[in-house]
Amino acid sequence: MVTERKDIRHSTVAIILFLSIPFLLFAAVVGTITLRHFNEMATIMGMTFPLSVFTSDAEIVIGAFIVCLGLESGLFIWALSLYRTKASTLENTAYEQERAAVLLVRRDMELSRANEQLRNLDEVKSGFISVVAHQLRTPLSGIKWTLNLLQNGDLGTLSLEQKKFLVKAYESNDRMIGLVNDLLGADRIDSGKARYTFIPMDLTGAIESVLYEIAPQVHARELTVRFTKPEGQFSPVRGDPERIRAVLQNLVENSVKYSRPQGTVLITLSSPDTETALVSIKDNGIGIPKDEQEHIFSRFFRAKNAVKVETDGSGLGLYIAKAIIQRHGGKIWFDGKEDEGVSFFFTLPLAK
Amino acid sequence: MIDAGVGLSLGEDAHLVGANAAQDALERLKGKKAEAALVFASVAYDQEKMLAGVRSVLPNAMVVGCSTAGEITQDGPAKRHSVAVMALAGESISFFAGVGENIAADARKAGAVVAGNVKKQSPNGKLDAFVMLPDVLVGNGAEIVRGVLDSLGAHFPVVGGAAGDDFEFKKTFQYLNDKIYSGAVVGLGLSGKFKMGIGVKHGWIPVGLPKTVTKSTGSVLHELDGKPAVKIYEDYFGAERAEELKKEPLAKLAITYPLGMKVAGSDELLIRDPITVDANGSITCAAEIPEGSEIRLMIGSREEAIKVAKEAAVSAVQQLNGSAPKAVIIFNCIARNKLFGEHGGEEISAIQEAVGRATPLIGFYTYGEQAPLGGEVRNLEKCNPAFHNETVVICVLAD
Repeated sequence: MVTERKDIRHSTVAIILFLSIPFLLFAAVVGTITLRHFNEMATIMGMTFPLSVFTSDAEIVIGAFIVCLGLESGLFIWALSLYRTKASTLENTAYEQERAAVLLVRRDMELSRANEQLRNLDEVKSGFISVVAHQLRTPLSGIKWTLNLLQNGDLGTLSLEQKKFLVKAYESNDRMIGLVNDLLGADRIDSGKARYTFIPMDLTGAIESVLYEIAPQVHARELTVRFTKPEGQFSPVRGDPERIRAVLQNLVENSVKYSRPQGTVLITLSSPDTETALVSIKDNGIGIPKDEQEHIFSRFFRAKNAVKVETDGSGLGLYIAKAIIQRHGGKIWFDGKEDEGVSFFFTLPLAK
Repeated sequence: MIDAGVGLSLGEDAHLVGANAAQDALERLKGKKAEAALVFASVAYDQEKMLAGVRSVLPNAMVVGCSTAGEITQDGPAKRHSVAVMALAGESISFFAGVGENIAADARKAGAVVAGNVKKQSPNGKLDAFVMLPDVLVGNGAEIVRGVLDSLGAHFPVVGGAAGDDFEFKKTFQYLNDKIYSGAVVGLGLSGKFKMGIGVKHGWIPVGLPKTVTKSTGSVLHELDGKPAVKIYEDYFGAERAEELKKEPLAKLAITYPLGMKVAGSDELLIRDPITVDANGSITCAAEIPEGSEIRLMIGSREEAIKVAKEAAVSAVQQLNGSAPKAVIIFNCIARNKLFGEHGGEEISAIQEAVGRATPLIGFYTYGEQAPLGGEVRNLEKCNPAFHNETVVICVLAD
């Protein structure tokens, strides 16, 4: 478009210049005649004038006029044909442009429509997951209750063998309840139904309580877990305690799950400025493969090496964690290489 | 001191959702008394019950609002049907609210009536800013703005957004205190000590060749280059889609391909949304297109739209002369929602970079926006409110 405009401007200037050539010639002739008149005037007035040219005005003027008119007509015809070529090129360009515009609009519509369909499909899928998850929860709770009765011996004494298998069934059922709860949690986030209550909360206490609960797994894997916090009372953060706890639990559990035996998990709490609390959870476990790092917070995503270590998992934990932290006005990110462990960080606003 | 709190609520029970949103907004006012409230809600809710829910929490505030094509808060665009409420408080600022009815009969008069009603409530008859929420499915939006300016003065700072109905283009509602209206315009007048900054941008790009409007009356476009106006869409969309144009409201298909009108003194084209098409192929637009205008089809790009949204927000904040934004109201065209799809949050996020993420923010997806051309409110002589389409209008309030 822009070069075209420049083209037009340039050719206009060229045409004007060419068309003005005969006029310039004619002006030159008239100029010389004027000079001769000055010469004659000078002679009359007894002064000397150096130039002595052309003698018959009329002949020269008419002659010059005819030559210039011929030249002008020639140039005019040439300019006209030039203009016609340009105009037809422009017309073609405009026609092509219009065709391209039509194509662009139609393609844009196709893509928008496809996108819309995908969105609808995604909504159907989410709805489906939501229904399934809701429907699964009740029977799973029923199973849990029944297994509990059996285990407690309320329905008769059990052999050791029977007890062993009941414990396995109970644990599997519990894991399934966990997965279903993750699905429901993600559904609440996606649908925007999750309601938050923000209050000043003690982050130190929340971290300590999560560490206390996870102690058996830490012990089983012979891990070292260290929690570092600034001295004195840490200012409360503005958060929804239950949800922040869920985030902490998820991140700490991940680092314990994906640590190698005898590994170390470091948790630090700090305050980089007067408005923010920063939590970091660092392990030296299996890490996250580089090509999968960008997907780590996506729905239903689990890294390849993580699946090998731990077959269970909904792939929703980090997705939920990110949604919760963002809803609090904080940020969550990570750092690390495959096989060298990973550090997760998140920030929360301090309560004012 | 202006204070604002925003609440958003989702769910099925209209009364409860209204009450919850209002309650959340009120709680975020930190104990201050809510003087006024803006309410934006989906038409999926029983409007009476929803508003009653809001009023059960805010019985004494000046409540104005409207149904929308999507609510917006500081958490981004609401994903499903919701109710959003912004409660406003301020010692040195007074709020007045009113309504102008029957836009269908006389749009300009309705505009003049709402502005007059609001103005006369102010003890000294003085207002400093005016927020309007009209219904443009029943009348010419530009005429309503003209009516408002008839009453307040040609260079009075006016912002607003036209009510929506979740992209159905059937019927929209306006709220004033306890009452639900349709086919009306409600207004909120602000008076006192405060600063206001406005950003207005669209960022749509023209494609194809210009066409000349050979016949039009007001906002109805009859002929382009001597042919029925709808032909422009039939040509661009193709025969298949052209059939759909007859069955579906034109706006549903064409909203992301609006018409751009060349106006004197501006390089950027002024945008006009096509709303409906009749049997003769005449297109009714959201505002007028004069005969002889040169118009082009416009197309959107997300990158450009995000860029201009941020520019608009930055320019709105600049007008505050260094004061910190206390409340942000966004009137964002439904076409931009369609353009962004699931990425609508990116646009709001870009705006928040300029106005501050923690600043209370409310807004909605509109069927047309009202704001001074170029967002000019500092030099009132150059403040010329107009009816916009496909545009994002960002209004920032500060002390």
